Amino acid sequence: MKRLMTMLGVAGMAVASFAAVDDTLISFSTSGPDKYADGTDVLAGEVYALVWSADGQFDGIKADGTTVDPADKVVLVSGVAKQGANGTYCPPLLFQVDAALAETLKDGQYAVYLLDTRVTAADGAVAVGGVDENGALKAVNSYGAVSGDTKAAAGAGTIAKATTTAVGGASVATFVEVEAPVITAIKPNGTKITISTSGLSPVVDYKVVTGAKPGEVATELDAKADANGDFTFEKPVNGAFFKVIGVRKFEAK
Amino acid sequence: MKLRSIVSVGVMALAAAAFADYTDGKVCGWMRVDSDLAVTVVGVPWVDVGNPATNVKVADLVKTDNLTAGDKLYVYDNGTWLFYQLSSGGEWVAGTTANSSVTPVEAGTPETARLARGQALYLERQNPTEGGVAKPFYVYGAEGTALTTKTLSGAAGTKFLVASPKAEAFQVTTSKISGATAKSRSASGDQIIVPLTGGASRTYTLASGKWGYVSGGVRVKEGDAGYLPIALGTGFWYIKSGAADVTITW
Repeated sequence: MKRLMTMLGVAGMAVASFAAVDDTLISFSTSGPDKYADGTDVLAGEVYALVWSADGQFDGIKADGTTVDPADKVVLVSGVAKQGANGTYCPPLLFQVDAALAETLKDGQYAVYLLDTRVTAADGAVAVGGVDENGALKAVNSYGAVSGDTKAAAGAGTIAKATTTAVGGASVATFVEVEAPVITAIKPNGTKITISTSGLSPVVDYKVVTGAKPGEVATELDAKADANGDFTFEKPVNGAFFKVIGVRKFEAK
Repeated sequence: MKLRSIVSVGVMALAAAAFADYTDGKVCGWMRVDSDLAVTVVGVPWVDVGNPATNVKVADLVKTDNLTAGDKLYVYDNGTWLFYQLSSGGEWVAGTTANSSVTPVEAGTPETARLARGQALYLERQNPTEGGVAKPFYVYGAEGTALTTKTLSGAAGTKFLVASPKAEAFQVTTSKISGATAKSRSASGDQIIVPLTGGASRTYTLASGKWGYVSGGVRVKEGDAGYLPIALGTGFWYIKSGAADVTITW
């Protein structure tokens, strides 16, 4: 994974003061339009994340919302993107890092990222996935750092300000890494076959293709993965080899 | 001290206009605060103009004169920082706070959210100086019913951001503060933390029956020559180390 520069746009960072007394406050907003990698405006309610790295190099986010580098951290998230006259934007947002947590993070660097958490329903409708009832990200397709021209470390008891890029809008640029799915078992069952898999990503649509020879696996079957990652389909007349192929749900334009 | 006497000469004309609108005898006006700090703790000395029975609105307290779009207000409310940002149109816009709770907290709209006398908040300015000189800002409101005391209730560790509602410096003395927990070998004691220029701070603690602070390695306590009060209009943090109520007499 390409190491990403952590850029906390903190133009005119305020004199270190103390929040309550030692919370860390980081404010952020954009004027829009904020865009997904496919060029569309982010959906209302899309998520902005406050991330942190110990070494100033935030290595990215996985599809499940955890960090690529276990030492990095997604500190806070908030689904506040709003539709405005100039497209979707982030209204005034304050990340409040509680004192106890801020103390443990005081020697690192923060950054603000825009996330693409879109999901598709069974009927094809697209919506913001956002967070679950525990505040955890459901799925992340891609993400982008909202950068400014000043790097700064925010420590406990600091009020800081993150700014947008010069164009006024945030954008998503980096896709989460997706591991190749693994077929773990093939089970015939009467007229049907079930293929079991592991490693399916929530940001990818999968299909099963088949063919008579290993090099000719290309015919798509009518099969969707269930919650366990199993594909069940009619036993093909001519098929003897199978492959599971994934396509990102939301590709770049 | 009447509010008239502390209105800046530079805005007397406007203050006079405000007085002309008043028929109930209440004094109103606005107070100039000279500060070169990017982040200033602002006290709430007054109540709503036109409705003295209610607290001043967030939209009204800090006037937008001399401020820059993007400047911010931070109001501490029982563990959550509420946040307002100045729009390009010169109005305060309520923000959203993301913290450890799952649901973001929305600040009340500036036209309805209110600030109580004796409360304090942070003003963050991008341009606190001009030509190397402090740019003033203005606090606005009407004289309210005398607020003589403030009670701080809460468990040990509870923090309060407060400021004297009076137009005078606040003397940190045992005669002004009752119920405080003293510092000892087994107790950290209550603390009063005052923000100063350049990110410095002054911390008062209660020990041997007197409030005091350390300056230059020496403890300066109430009654000593040069014992400093908390400056006019300056807010401060009060951190309780005990569970009993603390009462501040302004």
